[in-house]
Formats: sequence, structure tokens, C-alpha cells
Amino acid sequence: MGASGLIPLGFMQPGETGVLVEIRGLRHHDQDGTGSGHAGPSKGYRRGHMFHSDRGHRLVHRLNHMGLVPGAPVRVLQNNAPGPVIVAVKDSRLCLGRGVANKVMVSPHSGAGT
Amino acid sequence: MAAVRTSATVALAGNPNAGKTTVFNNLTGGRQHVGNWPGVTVEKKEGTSRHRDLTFKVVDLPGTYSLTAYSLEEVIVRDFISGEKPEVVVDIVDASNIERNLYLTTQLMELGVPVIIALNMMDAAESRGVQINVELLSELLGVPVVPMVGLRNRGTEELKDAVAAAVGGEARFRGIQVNYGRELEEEIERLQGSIEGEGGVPPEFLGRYSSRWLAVKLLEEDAGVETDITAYCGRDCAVFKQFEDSRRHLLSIFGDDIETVIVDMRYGFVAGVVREAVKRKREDAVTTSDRIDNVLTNRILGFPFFALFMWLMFFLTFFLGKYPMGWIDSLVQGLAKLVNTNLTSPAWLNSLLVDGVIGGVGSVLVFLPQIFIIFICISILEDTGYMARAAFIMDRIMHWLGLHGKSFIPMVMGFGCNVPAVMATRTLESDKDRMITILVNPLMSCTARLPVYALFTAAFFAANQGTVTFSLYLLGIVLAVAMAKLFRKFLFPGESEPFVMELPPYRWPTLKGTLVHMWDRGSLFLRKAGTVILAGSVVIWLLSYLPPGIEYGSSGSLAGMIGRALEPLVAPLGFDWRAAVALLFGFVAKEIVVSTYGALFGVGEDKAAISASLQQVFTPLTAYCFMAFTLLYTPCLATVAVIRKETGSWKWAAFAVGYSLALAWLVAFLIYRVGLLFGLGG
Repeated sequence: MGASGLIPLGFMQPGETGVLVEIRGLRHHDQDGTGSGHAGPSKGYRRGHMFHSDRGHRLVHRLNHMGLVPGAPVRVLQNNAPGPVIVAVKDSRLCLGRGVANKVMVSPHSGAGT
Repeated sequence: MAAVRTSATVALAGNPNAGKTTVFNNLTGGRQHVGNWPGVTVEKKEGTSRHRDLTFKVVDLPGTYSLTAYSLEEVIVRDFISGEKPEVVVDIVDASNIERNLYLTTQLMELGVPVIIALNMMDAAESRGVQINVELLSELLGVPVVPMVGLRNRGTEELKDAVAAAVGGEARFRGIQVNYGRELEEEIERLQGSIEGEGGVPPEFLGRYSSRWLAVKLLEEDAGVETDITAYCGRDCAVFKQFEDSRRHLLSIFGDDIETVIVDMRYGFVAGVVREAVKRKREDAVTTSDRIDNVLTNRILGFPFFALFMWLMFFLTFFLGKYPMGWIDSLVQGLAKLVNTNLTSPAWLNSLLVDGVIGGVGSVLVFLPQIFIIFICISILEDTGYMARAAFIMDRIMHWLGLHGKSFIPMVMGFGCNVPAVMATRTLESDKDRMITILVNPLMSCTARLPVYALFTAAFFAANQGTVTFSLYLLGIVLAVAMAKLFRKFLFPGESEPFVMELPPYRWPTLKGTLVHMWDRGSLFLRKAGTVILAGSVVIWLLSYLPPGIEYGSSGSLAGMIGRALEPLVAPLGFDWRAAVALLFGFVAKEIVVSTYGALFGVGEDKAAISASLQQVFTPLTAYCFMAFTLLYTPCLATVAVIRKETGSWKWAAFAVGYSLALAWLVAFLIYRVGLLFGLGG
């Protein structure tokens, strides 16, 4: 954690590659996490009893299940700063919003990040 | 017909974009029933497939990446598989993205149902230099694997064979399980012991899930499983005691959260399988799709290209649409003339046919070509994979509204029809984002407004029809943006959900796919013309014709009485009683605004005559106000119904009606008053 040489995915330029090291949780975003305030579409769906009900956790695992796991090689295809990033992970192409891209910490391969 | 010997249920599971819908259509031949999963607004598609003397029901499950309890779709998939126990689960795997797709496969196999892998998009994999040893893959996973190319309908028969073999008990299912490593496996075993043992989970529940699956899910701290086990044996039962012990033990070893370790192990298993069974010719992973993206999603070029595509869509709609519209127009007019001259029926019947039916429905039917062209364009944007790129490009702008790029897709679809557009908001994860996107969607100018613009711009702005129409589209967009910002600030405060979206590789749309897509949506319009608009036209004709003896469509008719009662409400906008009647009935479907004028002026389908009559009751300024009002005021009945369905509440449907009515009035009033100030009243 906090190892030197890690940069957020959102800071990488198109064409740069690296290895995903960790995804930092978004725990400070919890204020409206889950549970209450559903406008209707989720009726009948139990969200309230989750073990992990916080948003950060949910995001980290959503990314995991889409292939963004620690150790995965990543390549930035587009960086539309201050907009989203397109990243290649294995054979998938994922579009990550700026907020998400800045939580994904990468150990860059060479020439990037000092 | 041979007697049906066996019937079985086959569920289709797989990642989003793996081609599930195509395989479903190939299997069922398009005979399908679309509904919703009970209690939720996720679409449920069912169809039947026939193979020799076997009939089976095919259920299309929502596309998911995993089987956690984090999302509604995932819960639906696992509840269906464990609750309904389909005979076979066909897992659609995108061969060109095999590693990520097999991750879901491991979890499906863990559920303990027979799984058949439909290895779809083999052609895309080959063109990427990915070679898959199908036999070996099947061997390693212990399940049948059927290679196929869904878009070319290749492999469908083989898949049916495999399903039939599985239902008949002839297929082999060794059901390889992921080995989670010694430490985890030990704890899984302990947990299984407590689940199956005294004071554990009752057998009827175990009939649905295997104890191994429950154990793994508990260690993943899965909310759904926790709730279920609590319901069966309480929070203090042996299972949870064991769980706490196991968790403590594993945390002391891994020092991380256990779910992450489990995810790693599954990916490790998949990586091992892929290493054995998949060979890559090239290591450089830059695909053709990436090269296209270098241009289309480029920081600088992305937006201009997006604008070009949007312009092209409208250019094709208006320019190319003109010709077939002309043909339909002359057809309708010819029909009116024919009825008028050759029919010796009573005058009232003649009037009903010419003024009511032909004038009402015909004037709307003329727009069929434009509506179909815009739907074709939207289908192509979706089927090529460009729509996801549009979401990427627009994310920065949408972010400023407090939404993210994905909300943009329903907006573009709104140019076609607001009903499917509102349904398309289902892809948004956050309920707040979704509500905002739904509420502003009706402000996007759908094709039903086109007839109104066409009628009024022809009568008042003949010289620059295009510019005026464009300004109305723009007005809708600007107000949608403004309202989204207001709603975010006052009704649904908070940040938008983190933006994560997969970009499917670019694909050539198939002619069949695009046409089917177009027909699905376009035919709704045809049906609308034959039912709602027809009925509306007849009612308006009746109201204009009655009471007997009155001059047709005059202010003394029933329509006139209704209109005059409502006139004070719209008088400040410069509208007369006819406008009030047209808008009143236009609530049912906005095309009826045009039908109403057709019927009220009693000139049937004669364009020039309607134009002349319109010029007597509108000025260019009030005509523009009227078009703006038509654009903005209450969503049509079908849209209100779909808003009610998607938000699950009448309250929000009523709100959508109320706010848009107020907005329309305000905007029309402002345009009118400001226009008068500048002396545009003449």
C-alpha cells in the first residue's frame, strides 16, 4: 500500500501499460450507499441485509468481476481527462469514469510515472 | 407432427455482450414472450425451441459478469437457476474474450446444475488470432462445449443436439469445481459440515443449493445467502458460529478480505484452463476495434465524429424520408378523392371516412418512412457498438449534469420514441440517476412530434423549415439538460454512481438484425396508427360533427364547446380554442394534434387547405409557440404508462405530467411575450 511507483490509471497516457496493483475503496462515498431511498425499481430486492453494503466495496467487486483484478496487465487506450478512460484488460475494453480510474492503482511498465 | 415426448427448461446465461440475444433468437426462431421478472423491471424473455421430438422452453436470463448479490440481475440469475432448476443451463461464452467469460462459468458450475458452454463468436476469436482447442476445453471443465457463430446462425443445431443429449442424460457432466487452495478448502469443508449437520440448514433448502455453494457464498460474505440462512436457522445457529471461526482463521492467514481471495482463486483456475486450451498467434493485443477507437473515441476527434453521426442520422431521416413520404401522401390523397367522388353513402359517412379516418390517420401515416429511418439509424448505432462510445464521449458533459455517460444512451433513443428510451434506463445502476434520466427523457423530441413540426413549418416557415425544426430539437435538449440539473440539485441530491461500462468490440451490423430491431420498434408506431390514432381521430370527428345540424368543426360543435371552455388556459399563449382541443387530445398521442387539425378544418388530407386555414388562426410567432408547447407538454399516454411502470409509482408518472405541462406553458408564454416585445406578433 502506498508503495512508490504506483500511479492511478487515470494519470496514464494512451498506449501506456502496467500491472494493476490495487483498487482503493471508495468508503468516504458512503453517505447514500444503499438501502433507503430507492425510487421503486428495486422493490422486492433485499439490499438492506448485505454484509458488505458500502458502495466502495461494491464497486471494487464489480470491477473484479469485470476482470480488473490485482495482477492483471492493463493498457490505457484513451484518456479523455478530465473525462473517462478506456482501458484494455485481457480481451475486454472497459470505460471507467474519472472517479473510478483514479482509484485504480497501477505499477507502470516503463517510462511512465516517476 | 410427432407427439411431444419430453419437455425441458433451458436457461441461457452469460456476460453482457456475449451474444445471448442472438443465440436466443436462433434457438427460438423469434417466437418469444417478453415479460418482466416478478416484482422487478428486468426484462424476462421466454420462447420455445423444437428439436426432433423434443420441445424445450428457453429462458433468457439477464446478462451478468458474476453471481454475487450485488446487483439485481445477478440475484435473478441465481434465484432462477437454484429455484426453478432448469434441466440445462447454456452458458454463452464470448470466445474472443474467453478468460473474463469463463469466470462466470466457474460460478454457474458451482451452483450444481448441468452447464453447456456455447462458445460464441468463434469468428471474432479467430480473426484476433485466438485458437481454442474445444475438445481440451471441454475436457478440462468437464462440460460439453459447442463452438458457434451466433450472428451467422452457425452451431445452433449442434447446440440443440447437446441440449437434447443433456436432457436425455447422455451427456457427461463431471462438473469440475474450482479448487480454492488448502486453507480455504478446509474451511469450506467445515462449513459444509455445519450446514448439513444437526442444527444446520433444513434439507428442503439444501435441495435448492449445494452445501458447497452455500459455504463458498458465506465466505464471500454474500448478503442473499446470509439472509436465507438466517431465515432458516437464526443468527445464532451452528452455521454462523462456524462461519465466525472460519472467517477469523482465514483473515489471520490472508490478512485481506476473503472475497478477494476467492475471486483470485477463480481467476487463477480460469487462467490455468486458458493457458492449456487457448493459443494466441500474436501477443500484441491491438485489435481492429482498438484502431477504430483511436479515431472515434480520440480526445480531439471523438466529438466531431459524434456530431457528424448525429447530423447524418437526421439528414438521412429528413432527406431520404422525403421520397417515400411523397408516395404515401399521394396514395392517401388519392384514396380520399376516390372515397369522395365514388361513394354514394350518406354525407355523414363520407365525412367520417374522409375527414375523420383518412384525414386523421392518413396525415400521420405519411411519417412512417421517417420514423423507420430514424429507428434504423438508432439500431445501427446500437448494433455496431457505437452507442457505448457515444456514452464515453458524452460522459464529460453528462458529468456536469450530475449524471454519467450511460444516461446519454436513453437520450439518443428518445429521438426515436420515448417508450423504449425510458425502458433503456434499466442499464443504469443508480436509482437516482435512473429517475432523473427517466423524467427528462420525454423532452427529447421523438418522432411523434415530427408531423406537428412538418405541418406548422410548412405553413409558416416554408423558407427555412429545416432550421426551425432543428431549433425545436435543440430547445428540447437544452431544457432536458436544465431540468436534469434542477432535479439533481433538488429532488435527487448526491453523487452519481461510479461510471463503469464495457465497450463491446465494433461489429458489422447484420441486415437481418437491424431490420428486426427496426421492425420491433417501428411496428409499434403502425399499431398506434391503427388503434389509438384511429380511435382518437374518430372521436374528434364525432365531436366536430355533433350536435346535428351544426356547421362541421365550428365553435358551436362539441369540440368547439370543449375548446372554448379550455381557451382561457391557453389564451395567454396566443392560442385559440382549436389549439386547446388539439392539445387536449394530443395527450393520447402527439400525432393526434395533427389529426385534430385535419378533422377540425374538415379538409381531410389536403395540405394546402390546412395550411391556409392554419394561417387564419396562427401567426408565425404563435405557431412557433404552439410547436414548442407540443414538444414539451405532457408525455404521451404510452410514455406516462411506461414511466409509471419503470418507476413503480403513479406519483412520479403524475409528476412527469405536471412538471412538463408547467414547463411547456412557461416556455411558450415566454416565447410569445418576448416575441411580441420584438414586434413579431404580426
